[in-house]
Amino acid sequence: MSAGSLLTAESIEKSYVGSRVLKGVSIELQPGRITALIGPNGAGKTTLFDVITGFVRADAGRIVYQGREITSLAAYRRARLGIVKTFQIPHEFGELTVEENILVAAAGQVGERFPSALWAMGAIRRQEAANRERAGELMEFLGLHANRAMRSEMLPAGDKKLLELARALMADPTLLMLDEPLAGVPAGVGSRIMEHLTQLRDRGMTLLVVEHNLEAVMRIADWVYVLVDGELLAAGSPAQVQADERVQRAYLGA
Amino acid sequence: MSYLYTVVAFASIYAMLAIGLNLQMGLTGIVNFGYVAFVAIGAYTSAILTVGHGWPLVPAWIAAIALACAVSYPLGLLTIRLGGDYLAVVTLGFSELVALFILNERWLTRGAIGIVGIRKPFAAFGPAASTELSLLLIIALTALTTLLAWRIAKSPLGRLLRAIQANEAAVQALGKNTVSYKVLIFVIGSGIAGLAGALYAHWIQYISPEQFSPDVTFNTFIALILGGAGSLLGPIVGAAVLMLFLQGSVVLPDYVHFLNADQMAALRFMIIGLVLVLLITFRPNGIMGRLPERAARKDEVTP
Repeated sequence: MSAGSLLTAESIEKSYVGSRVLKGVSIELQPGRITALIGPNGAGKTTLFDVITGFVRADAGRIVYQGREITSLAAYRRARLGIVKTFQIPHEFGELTVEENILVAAAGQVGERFPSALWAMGAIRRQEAANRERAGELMEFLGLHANRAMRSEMLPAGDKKLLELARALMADPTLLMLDEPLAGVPAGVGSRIMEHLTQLRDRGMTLLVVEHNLEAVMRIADWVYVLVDGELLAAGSPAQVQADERVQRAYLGA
Repeated sequence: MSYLYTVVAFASIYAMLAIGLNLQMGLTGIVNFGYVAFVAIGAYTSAILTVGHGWPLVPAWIAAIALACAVSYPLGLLTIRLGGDYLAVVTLGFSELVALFILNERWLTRGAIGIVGIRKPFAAFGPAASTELSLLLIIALTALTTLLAWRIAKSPLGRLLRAIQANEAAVQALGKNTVSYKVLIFVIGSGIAGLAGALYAHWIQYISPEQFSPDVTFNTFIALILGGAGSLLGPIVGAAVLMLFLQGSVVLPDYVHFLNADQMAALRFMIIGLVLVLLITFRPNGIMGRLPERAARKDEVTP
């Protein structure tokens, strides 16, 4: 393991009712890079992803983030440390407006604590104004601005995906974890999302992308892990991985 | 006149209960079928402290709220992680537990006999004035509870609770401890139920176990569904309509001669059932709730 990595997952094991989904997988994420996790259906990508975010508990193995072991930390605590995920199927808060969805994600809100939510009017108003401004910038960045006051359940599917991203960004991630950001998204929105992701990387953010759409992910990734049948089949730069004939065989099913 | 006062007092107490339940169910999505347990805890705490130990009213009421909160806190910590239906069953079981405790621990609660001679507030002003002042106090405290619920709903905390109801996992993914917020709102709702129980005990001046049957929980649910869960004035409107039904069918037999009292009692449940069915069909968000929006259908061509 190189000392410079932001997060390392070591020898992760996970079984569901007797079937071994992850068979001792190790990966590491370099800061300021886009790392892609690819593989055929049922390879264990989403399980590994959720072991890192804390939504699934591994049977064995270790996760170290910024030099600190987080293997048994609750998901919300990992998010507070900066490991923020998006969901493959958009989990928008349907009754809330687009802007409210994003505001929920702001950390350390005085107005979320009790009893200060009842009386700290001035502090709440100042904080809300600052958070609205940040949410406004994010909506501008992602092109959600026109629908800011729309109830989020009414958004088109592609925009829900963008909202998912906006909300995660509002939570100030150090490591942004994206579960199939292109799934169910029209091609136009998809290329916009990809562009946003490279912009975020260029600002110094670290990203892990689980993706099915190989072509798209190869264009933006700096490093690729190929997971097949719960095991790491290959790792390397997009060019290296694409040239690897084991990877071609796994994908073409030959 | 005093009958009308009682109807208004009960409507106000039910409104308070519905406001507490609305914080839990309407705002946060916590289904609590054992709500009556906290009403009973509040009523008995205040009755025992004032009648048995000579406590003044205000400290007794604060104790009623505090005990309802104190009991709901560990219960919430243990059970709130359960999903909707499971939580409903566990809370219903808990309310039966409280009912059995009250029935059997006679040294404390006097069992089935109940507690008599509970003091009315403002008793020093004479019977007539104390009734009127008590009614005003109940209405004032219901208004205060409404204000509390309004502040919570309009604050960032309310926004967070609505987000938890919509999708709890997504809120966790944003770094928020959803369990602690759900426990918080469970405790606040229980405290409101405790206060409502204490007000009830001191209004009616006599409490016994059968007054705290699961009917109280279900009436509160009916009031909330009638008025509209999630809306601010819904619980109040719903409680008023519910009281109109429940009490109207008590008065009505005097005027409607072709129905006897038993038939009338049966009829009122049929009417409540019918109203609920119609309401859920035509106004699923309640009388005061938002009308269901017509979502753009896939087959409709948008210009």
